[in-house]
Amino acid sequence: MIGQNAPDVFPDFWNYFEEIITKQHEDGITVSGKASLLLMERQAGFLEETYFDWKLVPVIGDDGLFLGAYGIPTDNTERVIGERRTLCVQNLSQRIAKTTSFDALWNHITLGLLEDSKDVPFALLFADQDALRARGTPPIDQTGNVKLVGSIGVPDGHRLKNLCWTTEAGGDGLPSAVMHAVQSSQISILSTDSAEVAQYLTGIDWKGSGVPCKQLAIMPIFAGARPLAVLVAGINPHRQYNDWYRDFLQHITTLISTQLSALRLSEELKHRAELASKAVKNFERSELRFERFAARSMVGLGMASMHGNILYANNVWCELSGVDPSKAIGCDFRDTIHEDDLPLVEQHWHNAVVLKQVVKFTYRSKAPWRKDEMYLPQRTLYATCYADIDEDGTVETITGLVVDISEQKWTEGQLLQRSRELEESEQRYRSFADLCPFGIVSTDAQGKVKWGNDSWHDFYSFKKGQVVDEQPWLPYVHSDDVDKAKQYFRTLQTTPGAHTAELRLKKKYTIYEGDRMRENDFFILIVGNQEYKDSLKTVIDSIDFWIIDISAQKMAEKILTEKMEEAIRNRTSQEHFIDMISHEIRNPLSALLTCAESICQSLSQIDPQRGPSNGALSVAKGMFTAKAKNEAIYNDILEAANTIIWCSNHQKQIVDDVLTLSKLDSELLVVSPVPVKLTDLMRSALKIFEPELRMSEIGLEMLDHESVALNGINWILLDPNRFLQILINLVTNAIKFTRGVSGGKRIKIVTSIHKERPHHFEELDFVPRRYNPLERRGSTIGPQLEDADQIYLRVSVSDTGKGLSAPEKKLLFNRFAQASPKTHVEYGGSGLGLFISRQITEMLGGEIGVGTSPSGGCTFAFYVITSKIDAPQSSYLQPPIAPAVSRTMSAPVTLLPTKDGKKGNGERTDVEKRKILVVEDNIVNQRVLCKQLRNRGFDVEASNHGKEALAALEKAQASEEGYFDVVLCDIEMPVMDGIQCVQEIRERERDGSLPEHIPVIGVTANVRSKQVDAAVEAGMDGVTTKPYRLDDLIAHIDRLLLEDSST
Amino acid sequence: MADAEEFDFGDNVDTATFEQILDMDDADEDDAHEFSKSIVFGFLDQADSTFAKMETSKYVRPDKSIHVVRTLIHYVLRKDKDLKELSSLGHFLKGSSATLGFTKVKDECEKIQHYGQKKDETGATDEPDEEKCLRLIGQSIAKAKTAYDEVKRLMEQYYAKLEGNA
Repeated sequence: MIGQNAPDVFPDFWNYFEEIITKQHEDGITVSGKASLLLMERQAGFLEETYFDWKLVPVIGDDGLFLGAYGIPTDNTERVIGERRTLCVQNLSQRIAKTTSFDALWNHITLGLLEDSKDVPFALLFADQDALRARGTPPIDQTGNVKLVGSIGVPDGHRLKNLCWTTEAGGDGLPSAVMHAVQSSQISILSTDSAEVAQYLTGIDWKGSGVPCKQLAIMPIFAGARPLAVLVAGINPHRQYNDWYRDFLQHITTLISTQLSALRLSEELKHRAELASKAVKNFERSELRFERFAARSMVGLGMASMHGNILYANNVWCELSGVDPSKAIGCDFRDTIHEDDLPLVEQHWHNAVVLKQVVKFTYRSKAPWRKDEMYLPQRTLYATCYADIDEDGTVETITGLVVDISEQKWTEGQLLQRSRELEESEQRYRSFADLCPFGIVSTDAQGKVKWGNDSWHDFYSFKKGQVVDEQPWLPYVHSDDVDKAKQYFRTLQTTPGAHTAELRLKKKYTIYEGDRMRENDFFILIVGNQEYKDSLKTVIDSIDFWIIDISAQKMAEKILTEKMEEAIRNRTSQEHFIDMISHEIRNPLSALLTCAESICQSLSQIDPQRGPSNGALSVAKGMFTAKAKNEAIYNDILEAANTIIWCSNHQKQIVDDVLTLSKLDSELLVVSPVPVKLTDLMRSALKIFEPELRMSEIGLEMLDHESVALNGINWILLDPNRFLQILINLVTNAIKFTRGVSGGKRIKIVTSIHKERPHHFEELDFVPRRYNPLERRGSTIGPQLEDADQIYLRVSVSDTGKGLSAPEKKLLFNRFAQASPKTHVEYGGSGLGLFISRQITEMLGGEIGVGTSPSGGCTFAFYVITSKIDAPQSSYLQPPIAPAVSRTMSAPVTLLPTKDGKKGNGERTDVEKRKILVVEDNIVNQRVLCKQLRNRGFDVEASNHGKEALAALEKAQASEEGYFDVVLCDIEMPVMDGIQCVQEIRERERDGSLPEHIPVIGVTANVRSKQVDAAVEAGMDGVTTKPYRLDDLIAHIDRLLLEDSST
Repeated sequence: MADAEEFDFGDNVDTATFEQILDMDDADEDDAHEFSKSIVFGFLDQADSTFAKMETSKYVRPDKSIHVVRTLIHYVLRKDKDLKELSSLGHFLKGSSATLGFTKVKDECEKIQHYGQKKDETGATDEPDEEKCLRLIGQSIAKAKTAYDEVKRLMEQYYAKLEGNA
């Protein structure tokens, strides 16, 4: 160095000294400086922190000139740094000594270290939180127990701030290095060069000289044997890490470690103190609780010494034992116990005290018990008793707990008494039931027999006590009734209430009718009822049955039914026989009549005076003889023919009566009221009697009672056929019985009108009605009259005949009955006429009767219900006059049957044609019916079934030709039957797609009322029967249309 | 008008009833018997097809069937239904034969109707034996067909004669 230029030698600080030296050059004063920081590269590549004291002494030449400066430097580096470090340690020591918590400790460590930032330009302080924590507190963080608790030079938000790891898992990078150091238990040095470590150090705000550290020292801090924290400190980059430096760091470590141990200890102590105080509090609380419990418990609690003296007793115990609480302490508990129970209690006491068992027993105290009306002379107590034993196993005290069970005891006593009473009563009823002639059995819900009496066992031949199956009776029930029996039992199981069933058993019931044995099923009638366990009736306790043998009734019923059926069969076959005979007789009779009429007619064309023009020969032989002979023959033939006609008529009348009766019986006769003019009707009907009356010289008088005129009767609603049938019958009878009487033969017919039912009238008794009241039947529709318009039409027929005796009158109106057996001989007749008249009168709502006329003859009278109406508008309602004629037969002229409707009823050409829809599936019948109706002046259209009918109705409604007036509908048809059809029609009428209410008449071969009802219910206005009776049918239609138009 | 009484129908036809049908003919028209004739022959066709329908219920004569097993099954399942159908067919034909007065045909049809309802021939008493009913129906169908053949022959003759006269 010598000889070299100073600036070259001291490049680091020459500039500074050059100035000083220049100044000294001028003033020549010695200049000195104190230890300022000099960074010197004493070793190559390492800037070292140095401190020098220096003195520049001017060297003055002899000439007084400044020759140069003599520099005297003194190296103070070690002293300065040493002082610095010592100060730092002292500071730190002072700081942390005051700390009382870990957090304060960490804080002061950081602050203390900051004071020597040159030597600690960077620091990380980690603490093992688990190790620091007081025992028993739960871990704080799941992410790791080692956490950064303090740092120097780490800015906020730096990744190091969040660095943490778990001791067990360790980690890589910095944590791994730290853990290594901890394991070695001494300070280790880590170079910051390695990438592993360097990654953590970017962005660090280095303190001290601001130069990044090249090395880190890792200093584990132990408290005892346990590492609690780690201090990672940056090594001063301008100082070498050497023993001196290590001593400094060691010193710091020791300081922290000492304080940490102290803190940890105090924490521990604090924790223990807390636990201790908590335990004390708990104990106090439990003591308090026990006291409260004992004082307020419902349970009596007493503690006694080994000798039985009470040491403690709560109020309940005193009350239960009958002891005054103030005197309880010290008394012998045995004194409280009922004498009878003392030996027992002594025994238990022994077991508790000597054998140290926990004993439980019931005893009675001397205290009485009372609650409301309940009373017992001693309380019954339930006690639990045990010995309290100290650590040595000796008995300290005996504790007894007692509960009052007197009420239960009382209830138990009551129960015992009740059940004894119950048993007695049940015994009584059981013997009652045992001897009962009915079967009585009680089963559980599944049908297992609980109890059954002897009669019940007898039903199935069971032996008592051997019936174990569910529903054991099932195998004995008649196979056809098993399902019924099961169903019945199910009903009982599911439906509360009594249920009854009738079952047959397999065994038979037999009786003897003389020697003949009769067998029938064995019938039983069962009544079952359930007993429930609960009031809601959900759980069945038992099902009780009462069983009665009704086989005898059933047998009687069966025999009776058989006899009845037999009787009905006999009667029916008899009637059938009569019907058949009548039919068979009628056909040839018609032939007879026709023949006889033909003869009469033929004869009338021959002039008996002239004789048959059979040629000149006979004329030549003698006209007179022939003429006389012809006349005789002519008369003979005429007489014979008339006789034949008369006889046939008579016979035919009988036959017709029988047939009418048969129809009456089958309820086939229809009442069809139509508007009639009463007087005209009667007069024209009576015309047929004129020839006969003339012949028999009987005078017929027809009178209207003043009531007729008074009530203004002209038109009334009446079924003319039925009405005339009665009238003509009565007149025929009158003629018959008057004919034989000599002189003054007269018949008087009186018509009268009544507002009230004319029960008794002019000494005349009506026969009691057979049908009462008048039933409305589909096929025999009675007069449907409004009460307001209802009047009673009464007709009486009096004659001057020989009259009847009272017993004769009684017989008159019965079937086949005549006044006397002689009657038949004298007057002929079937005896049915009056019976039929009676039936018809009743059908018309009236009565018929007989009395004595003033002349001594008979007066027959009847009345019918009818109603007054206004004269109909159109002429087509002209009543048909002829119908009843066929059964009147007095004059041959009227005999010709009205073969054709055209002639009988007159064609309805002058009125608007009525349109009728015929619905009939049988094409043959359909065409015939259509033809008949057309002949009667109807406009007819036909459909084959209901569907077609609906289509026809819709079409008619749409067309201009006009809608139908009436529908005639067969009931049994394919595709859509009459019932469905009419329902559909009514439905469409309701919804407006068809015009309102078209009358529909049903036609059926089934006249049973069930069918008729069904038809009417489906919406039909009436029902008529097959085969068609055209007159009735038309009358029916007329009536419906009249009703329809009037509404 | 040719009177039906002049023609001997025997007891096959109820003359009175049949005459009512004849009465419906319009005498003054060209074909005087058009209506009654069409009705009668309409009936004959109808009866023919009804008999055919009755016989397709072949269980009327179950013994004649070849397929024994099928028949048995069918027999058990359908017997009741067959009876009802037969009864209905009988009722149907009874209606039209009664209208025309073909008494014998009508009587047998009525029996078929009753048998089909499981009753005796009068319809008064129950006859629960289905097989017996079916057998009786078989017999009645045969009788009805005989009566029908007779009526057909008579009617053909009758109308031939009527037209011959005209």
